[in-house]
Amino acid sequence: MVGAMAKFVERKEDDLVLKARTQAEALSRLYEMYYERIFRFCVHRLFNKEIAEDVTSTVFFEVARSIRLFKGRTVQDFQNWLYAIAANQANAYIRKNSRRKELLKEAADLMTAADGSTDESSEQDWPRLYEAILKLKPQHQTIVTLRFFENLKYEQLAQILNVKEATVRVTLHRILNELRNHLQSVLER
Amino acid sequence: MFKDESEFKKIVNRLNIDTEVNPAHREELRRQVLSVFNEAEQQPATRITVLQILRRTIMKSPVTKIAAAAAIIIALLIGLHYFGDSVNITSTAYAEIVEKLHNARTMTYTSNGTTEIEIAFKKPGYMRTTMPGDYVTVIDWTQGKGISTLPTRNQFIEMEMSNLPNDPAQQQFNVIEKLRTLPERADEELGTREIDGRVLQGFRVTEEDVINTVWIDPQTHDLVRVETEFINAPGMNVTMTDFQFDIDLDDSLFRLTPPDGYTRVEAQADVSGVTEQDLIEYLRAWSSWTKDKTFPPTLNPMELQKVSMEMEQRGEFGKVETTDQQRKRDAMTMYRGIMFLTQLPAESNWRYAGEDIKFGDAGTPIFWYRPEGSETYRVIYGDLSVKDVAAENLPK
Repeated sequence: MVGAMAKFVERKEDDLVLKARTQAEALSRLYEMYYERIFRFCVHRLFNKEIAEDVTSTVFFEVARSIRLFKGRTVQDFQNWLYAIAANQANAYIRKNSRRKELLKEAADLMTAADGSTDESSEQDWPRLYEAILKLKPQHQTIVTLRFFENLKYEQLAQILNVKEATVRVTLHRILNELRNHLQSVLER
Repeated sequence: MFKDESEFKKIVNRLNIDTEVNPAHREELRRQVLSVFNEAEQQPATRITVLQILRRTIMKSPVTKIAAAAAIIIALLIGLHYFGDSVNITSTAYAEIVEKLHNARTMTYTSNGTTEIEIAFKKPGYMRTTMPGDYVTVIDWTQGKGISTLPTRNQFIEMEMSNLPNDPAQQQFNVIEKLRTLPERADEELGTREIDGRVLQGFRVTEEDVINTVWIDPQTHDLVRVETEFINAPGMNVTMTDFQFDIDLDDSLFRLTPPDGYTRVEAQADVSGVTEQDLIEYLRAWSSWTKDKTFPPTLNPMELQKVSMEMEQRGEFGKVETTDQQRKRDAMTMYRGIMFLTQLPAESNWRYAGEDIKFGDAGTPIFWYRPEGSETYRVIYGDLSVKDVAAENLPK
């Protein structure tokens, strides 16, 4: 029963994607469904709420302009498309604005253990780790955000990035090695 | 220090990141988004948006930038020329079209190969092409001058077409020239066929290495579609649609002046002395850009952007640390290599077989052609060595 209901909801949402090509009301509902997720992704990628709002705006303007040409049919397709646009816009923002140091500082200031954990090492590790993340290629930073902050599956990452799932797995493995090596070299200084 | 993915995840999970939504922004943005959506509805679904997306993708990679630059230059040189004098015609629909092509004061159409190009012409010899990425190229064949704009970088390239072959018909892929010189009678009538929901009458014309199939609406006698097939160069084929004749095209569309605020990139499209070695250098350059040292999957210049973009998306290019200067040199290498191909006559019977072959594979022929007047073929191998080979020993 629950499964059938879930399928029904999914189908209704898929209809929404098709309708949103021509109907403002459908687009408005999709916007409601995804605003928070995209905003959160932008915060996790840029670590500044005001900038994240700007980039989120750019993402949805792009959606409003292009949805008539969007070929996807399901909410999953739509979500992947949204994340792809958001990843591109966030990367574009970082490229255009040499604010990485500021971002880093802001990010480091923001980061504290949420649960008052006694595991202080992870809290202390974060600024260094984030510095290491900022040294990654933009697409690799996007992978880290989508995988670890947005908890997306490999399959979704592959669809968003338009690569094979195996490529995502291998790339993520390399990214983690790269981050580890960077941290190691920092600690040995 | 984290040991694995799950430990990394734990660190991230413990972070306290404020992601609380600002309801005022959310509501204001919704209003603006719907306004943008409604505005877009007022306009026809242009391909501009698609092109903008393409442009961003194309320009992400140094290799695709090089390919784009080379494609612009090549597009100019294999482009179209002005129309000539009218000829005697028969009274068939086909002949009417031939007359229209010959006499048109202006003409616009869309060329659909693997890359879509919008083309506009105006007598006496002005041409404007708009390629994916909003690359606009204007050329004045009467002065031998051209300009290309690169909107993503606010740059423009001015070109002096020095040392071009004098007779445009010598350029194998000069599509418009083939159109302009269509014979007044077709070789074959193909009868009617439904294409894209319209019943059209087909005519086939075969000239040397080019087959043109002309599709005409028998009711209105409009030219609807032309399919041009190059027998010796599979992959170069194009389909032309959306023809319009003698519409008003303002002279400003063909100005050789850049938009305000654009900076100049110097380029001279010099095709003098293009030789086999230029093709070899192009193949060498490409194989140095790919991670696995393979040669380009195609030599079709119109596919350059698309192919390089797709390869970039698949991560098949290595890291290319390049300067603007080097990029220009690479674009010229690419362009001269491909110009060597475009200047080969039909009887050279050239073939390219380099797809998936890696640089250094001395035993595998990747390209061969017969030089003018020669009885043997020149064969380029995977290590870019060259040998003279008798026709009967060529790869099948």
